[in-house]
Order: sequence, then C-alpha cells, then structure tokens
Amino acid sequence: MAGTVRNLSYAVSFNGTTLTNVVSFRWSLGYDLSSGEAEIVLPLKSDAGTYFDDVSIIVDGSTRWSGLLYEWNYRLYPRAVSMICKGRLARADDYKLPTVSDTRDKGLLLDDLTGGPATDEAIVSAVLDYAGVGTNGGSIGGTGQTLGTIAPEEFVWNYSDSALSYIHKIDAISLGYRTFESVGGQIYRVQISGRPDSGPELTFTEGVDIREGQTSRTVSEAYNAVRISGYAVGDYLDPRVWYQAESNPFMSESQPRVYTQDNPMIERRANESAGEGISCQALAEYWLRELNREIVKVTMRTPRSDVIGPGQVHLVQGPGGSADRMGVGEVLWVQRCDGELTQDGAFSQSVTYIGGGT
Amino acid sequence: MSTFATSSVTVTFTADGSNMSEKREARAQVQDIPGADAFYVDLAGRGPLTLTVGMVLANSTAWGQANVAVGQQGTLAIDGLDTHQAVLMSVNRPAPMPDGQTKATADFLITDA
Repeated sequence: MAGTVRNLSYAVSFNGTTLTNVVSFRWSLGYDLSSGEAEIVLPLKSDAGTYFDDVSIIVDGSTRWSGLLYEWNYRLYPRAVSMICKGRLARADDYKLPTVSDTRDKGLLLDDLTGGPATDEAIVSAVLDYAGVGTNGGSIGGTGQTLGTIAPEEFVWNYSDSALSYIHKIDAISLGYRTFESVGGQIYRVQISGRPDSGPELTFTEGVDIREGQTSRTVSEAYNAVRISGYAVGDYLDPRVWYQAESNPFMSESQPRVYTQDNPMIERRANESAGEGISCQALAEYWLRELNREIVKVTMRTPRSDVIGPGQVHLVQGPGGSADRMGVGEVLWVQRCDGELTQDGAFSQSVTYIGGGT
Repeated sequence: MSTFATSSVTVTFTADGSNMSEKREARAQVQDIPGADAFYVDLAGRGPLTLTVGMVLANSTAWGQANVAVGQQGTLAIDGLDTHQAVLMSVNRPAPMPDGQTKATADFLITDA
C-alpha cells in the first residue's frame, strides 16, 4: 500500500486579517476565464473587511488565489455565509472610460492612451494602468509588433468597451497572446499556441496521483484552411486577405474546411508587406496551427497540492509513461485549474488541459 | 442523581452506567487513486466528543422535560464525573415501565472538551 498522509495548512486572509473559522473554499483560475473566481464558506459573516477588500487563499504557505470580495451569500441551514470573490482583472471588466457628454469622440485614441502607435503589450499595459489594475508581480508579454500606424481609428478604445473587453480585442489579433490571472492573483500575458514545446513543469501519472480523469480526442473541430481578412481601406494594390490551406489525414486541400476571420485591426496583408502591424499571413499561420490538428482535451482531478496555474505545461501519462486508460501520454497546456478544500477536509485540484497537434 | 440544566429546564435523571459510551472521531479524508493501491489521507483534526447516556427518568414529566431540552445547550453533571457544557442532541425511549419510570437514552455533544 502506498499511502500519503499529510496535514496541509490552510489560511484565508481577508483585508489583512486571517480568518479562523473557514469551513471550506474553492477557487478557479483559467486563461479562458475573464477573471479568477473564489468562494469561501464561513459559519458567520466576517467583519474584518468589506466589498472590494483583498482576499487571499493560502495553502501550505503559498498564496494560491488572490482577489477582491464582491458578494456575500447567506444560507439558512446549515447556517453559512459565503464570500464570493473575483480576481483583480474583474476590476478591469468593471472599468469603462469616463464619458464626456458633449464630445463626438467614440473613445480614446492610441495617441491619448500610449502616445501614438504602440506594441500590443504596451497597449495592454497602458489599459491596465488606466483601469488601476496592477500585474501583482506578473508580466505582460506580446508580439513586439507596433499597432495603429496604418489603421489608428480601428484601435480606438470605445466608451462602450470595458478595459478588459478592449484588452480582449487586442489579444484577438496577437497571435495567441492572452491576458489572464494566474496563481496568487498575478496577471500575465503570454503566448499559448498549439502543442506546448517546453518541458513539463509537473507530471501526473495514472495510478499514482490522478483521482479522476477523462480525455477526448477529436478532429471534428478541426479546420485545414484559414482565410483572414483585415483593414480594407486603401488596400487596392495589396488587398489585406490571406488564404492558406494544408492537408491532413482526414481533410484534403482540394476540399478544405475553411475558418474565416475578418478584423479591421489587422493592418497588413503579408509579413513582407510594407508598414507595421499584424499581418493577415501571420494570423492565418497562427490559426492554422491551432485548428489543423487533432484537439486533445483532458480533465483530471488530483489530490496533489502543487502550485498549479493556467499556462503551465504538464505531462499527463499512463503508468510507465505511455498512454493507458485515459489515452494520453503527452505534454499539455493547463487551461484551467480549480482548487478545493471540502468541508470534510479533503484537498484536491481539478485541472483542464488542452493540447494536440505539433 | 444526575442533571442536565439548560436556561429553560433542568432534567433530573439516574445515569445507567451499563449503557454509557463516549466517542470521538478523527477527521481524516481518504482519496483513492484508481488503477493502483495509492491513496492520499488528509488529516483535518478531530470531531467533537459525543456522549451516549442511559438515563432513568422518574416519570412522564421528567421525560417531557428531557424533550424540551433537546437542541439546547446546558450543564451536564453525571454523578461523580466531570461536569461539561453540552448540547442534548437526541433522546429516545421504549415504552415506560409499570411504575411510570422511563429508561431512556440520550446523546450529548460535549462542547468544552
């Protein structure tokens, strides 16, 4: 018998005060979530703080989740009060530009936001600053491409857009760079594209540390051709459209399944086209890598207490390293992680992965 | 004589030593790993002390007082044993004896030990 007996330490901090009566908690982090989420169950309401005060969940001395209190939920019986919390990116989702009633402007130009054309990472950083949301120790990466030189009017931050929805617009053309919250409330912007090519940070093995698990492999969501079109003004000589197709064992180039995307923030046709900005070609190549593959989705639950966050790379495998019951033995992106301490004291983490392709 | 005294009622009874037990359980959750014999045990402290006591109640009035005390916190004093704060969780009895006495069983949750 191979039993692991442990006595993990847990702490929940609310506005700087450690709560001593936590019944249970759970948290969610994911690069597909607009912000992190957490729920902390107490027998009675805490008076240590109020709305938008800091909340952190600490497991074995490391902060796993950090955000702000948004809501109290009360339950009659068994009597309980839940703290409903969101990550700091939710503040960016709440934030909209202050409107001026007598202006005809649609919103904020890059000239006013970043002082003119800027890289995608500079724009995202400026928007977070504008909304008063720090990265909390994270980092904002990007393509390094300067945006807004050819079609500056397409990069206006509209009054109707929240800071986070404007960031999502920039992310949508940034070749897989995504802005999300990770462990400890840190905000990152990193590229997540195709099958991960780095070594795994953690390895999980059937029969060792996987409590529940399932895998799906499918090509039903695959596309083997991509057509990207961009900014259409003044492009008669070099139309901003790019079509690219590849065959795969299930789809031929002569009968392609075509994914299309039209986005006026794409400012160039090909990588060799004059000027600066994201090109239709670069985005087509990104989407083809993403879509022309067998998609592998894995969900598993582990009792392990390692620090797990979205954007990590894990190896999930059967005994001995090969695929077995779950049909997976490869490196995968962590798309989402849900940590949980139940009322009866069991700690586990549910991890959702995505991978496939090359 | 033994008593369980709450703010609203005092139950007086004779403790039956042959029908008495104390119990406390560990809070330890086991997570099994399928496909092998591995498992994880989360130690999460221990549950509260519970005490089951056989009690002889003198008459139906005393039985009624025991019913009133269910769900209340009070002071439990059983003969020469330590006195505890406790919540009376449940009482149950068979049919009363011919002389009107009732041999009941009571479950207490001890809150100060």
